[in-house]
Order: sequence, then C-alpha cells, then structure tokens
Amino acid sequence: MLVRRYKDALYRYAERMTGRPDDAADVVQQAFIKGYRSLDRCRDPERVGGWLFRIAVNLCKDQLKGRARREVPLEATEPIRATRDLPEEGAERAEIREEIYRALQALSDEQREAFVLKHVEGWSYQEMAEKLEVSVPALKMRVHRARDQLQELLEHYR
Amino acid sequence: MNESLNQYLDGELEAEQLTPEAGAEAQAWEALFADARQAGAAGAPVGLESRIMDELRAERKTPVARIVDWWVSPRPVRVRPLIGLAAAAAIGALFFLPIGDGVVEAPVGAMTTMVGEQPVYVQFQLEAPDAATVAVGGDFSDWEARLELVDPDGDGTWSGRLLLPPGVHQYMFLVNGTDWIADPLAEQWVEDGFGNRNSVLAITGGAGAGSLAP
Repeated sequence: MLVRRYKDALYRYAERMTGRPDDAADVVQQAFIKGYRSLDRCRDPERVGGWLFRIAVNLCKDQLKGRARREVPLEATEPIRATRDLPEEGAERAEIREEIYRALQALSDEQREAFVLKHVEGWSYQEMAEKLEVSVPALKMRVHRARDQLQELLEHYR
Repeated sequence: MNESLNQYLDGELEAEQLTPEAGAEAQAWEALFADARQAGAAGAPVGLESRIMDELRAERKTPVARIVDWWVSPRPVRVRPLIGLAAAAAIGALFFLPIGDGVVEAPVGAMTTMVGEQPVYVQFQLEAPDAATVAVGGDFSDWEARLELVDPDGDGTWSGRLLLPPGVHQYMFLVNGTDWIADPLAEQWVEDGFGNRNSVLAITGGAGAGSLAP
C-alpha cells in the first residue's frame, strides 16, 4: 500500500533531480528497499511518507555524485515568451515546461534540490532543514541562487 | 532580484506588501513555479510498482528460500545453438543406449499437459454498511480500483464479479474512494512490507475448476 501511495511523488522528485527516468526509477526502488530494511528506525509511522522522501532525497544525492551531471545545451534553448501571451494548455505550454525542466537540470545539484523541495514540493524551509540537515539560512541562500540562475536561464519567461 | 520579492517568494511577506512592479514579478514567478510542478513526469512509470513489490517480496525471503527460488524459478538461459544441439544429442543418446540385454527403452509421459488455463469469475463481497462506494483493486489491475461493487438493496453488503486469470492475486477494497482495507473474509494475506496486509486470492482456472475466492 505504501508503495502505491508514495511511488508517484517519489518518482516525480527523483526524475526532476536526476533528469533521467531510469535513474529516477532506480532511486524510487532503492528508497522503498532501504525503507523496508530500516523500517524499525522510522520513529513515527504516521510520517512514513516524509521518511521515505528523505531516503529518496539522499539517494538522489548519491546518484548525482556518482556521475557527471548532464550537460544542458542552453545555447540551443529558444527564448521563452511571456507567460501571459501563451495559451493555458497545448504544445506551447508543454514546450515551456520542457524548457523549465531543462533549466532545472542546469542548476547545481544543491540548488536544484533546494528549489524543487521549496517551490515544487512546497516544503517550508524548516521542513527542508530538518530533512536535509542543513541550516535554514544556507537553504535560503541556495533557493535564492537557484532563482537568480533560473531568472538568467529563462529571462524571457517573466 | 530585490529583497522584498525574495521575502515574498520565501513566504515572509504578503503580496499586499509588494510594490506593483514587484507584485507583477511575483506573479510571473508563481506561474513559473506552477509550470515547474507540471514539468517532468506526472508519476511513476507503469510496472515500477510491480518491480518494487517483487524486490520487497524477495527481501522478505530467507537465504534458504532464495536459493530454492533460484533453482525452481524459470529463467531465460542463453545457449549457443551448436552447444544446445550437442547437449540434446548427448541426452538423447543416453536414453537410447542399449541396457542390459540390448532392449531399447524410452521415457514415457515426459510431456506435461497444461490444463485449467481459462479465466474464472470471482465474486467479491464486503460488509460495509456505512460506505458510499466500494471498489476492488489488486495486482491484476495495477492497483487501480476498477471494479466498483454494488449494494442494490442497501443492506450494506457490497458485491461484484470480476473475470480473473488463474494464479495468485493480491487485492484490497477501496472504500469511499480513499480507504484501502483488506478483505476480512480472505483466508490468506501477504505483508506489503510496511506493516499493512494485502488480501490474497488463489485461483485455479479452467472449466469447472474451483476458486479459493472468499
């Protein structure tokens, strides 16, 4: 049941972090296996989702450490038009999301992790600090830098 | 990026506290965050859940059970055709070698006949007087609760039939679209690895074959 409940959320995060579907699937699989092996260390069964997520976050870190980050051909990226000029749905929207996805992959691992947790997963800085064991000011700095970087990469977006 | 915008995006300022220019920028950022949430995969690929469950089941097995599994589980074996032919010829030669007084013997009944492969209807039933909806999902439906049970007379007994292939299936009931519960009438369960139990259903197929459905 837990697998069914959390696999999608874990996969979405892992896929954004690793940029590779196969790696993301491996991360999710490993997260559940590690979770199973260390189930007795989960102090609060009510928060097993967060606990699994933390395992996945660490596995993503390991995954990214283990390989050189994918080069993103940003020079080939077409400028993104202003949001208000775009239709809500459709091919153009999908294209924009693809550009954002690629821009996320161009961030440093730490910046991407902080940005995704903050603005995609909707975590508070306090939650992030607890789960990543990084101070709130350090996390804010990472998120701010990520936003600055994205602003440059997606300058036509805004 | 100006400080007030950063503070707003960090959740430390209200939108009303921003200048009009910063407010417009904040809206653009919110749109970007929304697009970022939609970027990438919507969920895990099909088959990942089964893969994970297989791994978890393997984790639960003792070392001895794993060794037994390795020996008895079918697996593809890659053999060079030439070596395969040679091996087959050698085995064949063993059977046809003259034994004792020169009588030639051949194996009898070496072919296994598969019977009972037809899907069978399984009746699911759950007593849930307070439920608004009840459905069934399991590994046969990739855990999508596709079969909706019905309670036509409103007595709280929900039931429905599903055509399932022979084999061992895990399933659960989805009550009110939110609560997954095990079948209290199931004779067998299997741990899902995280403290919950899936109900288990074993079906022998074929015309007139029995089902161990609850």
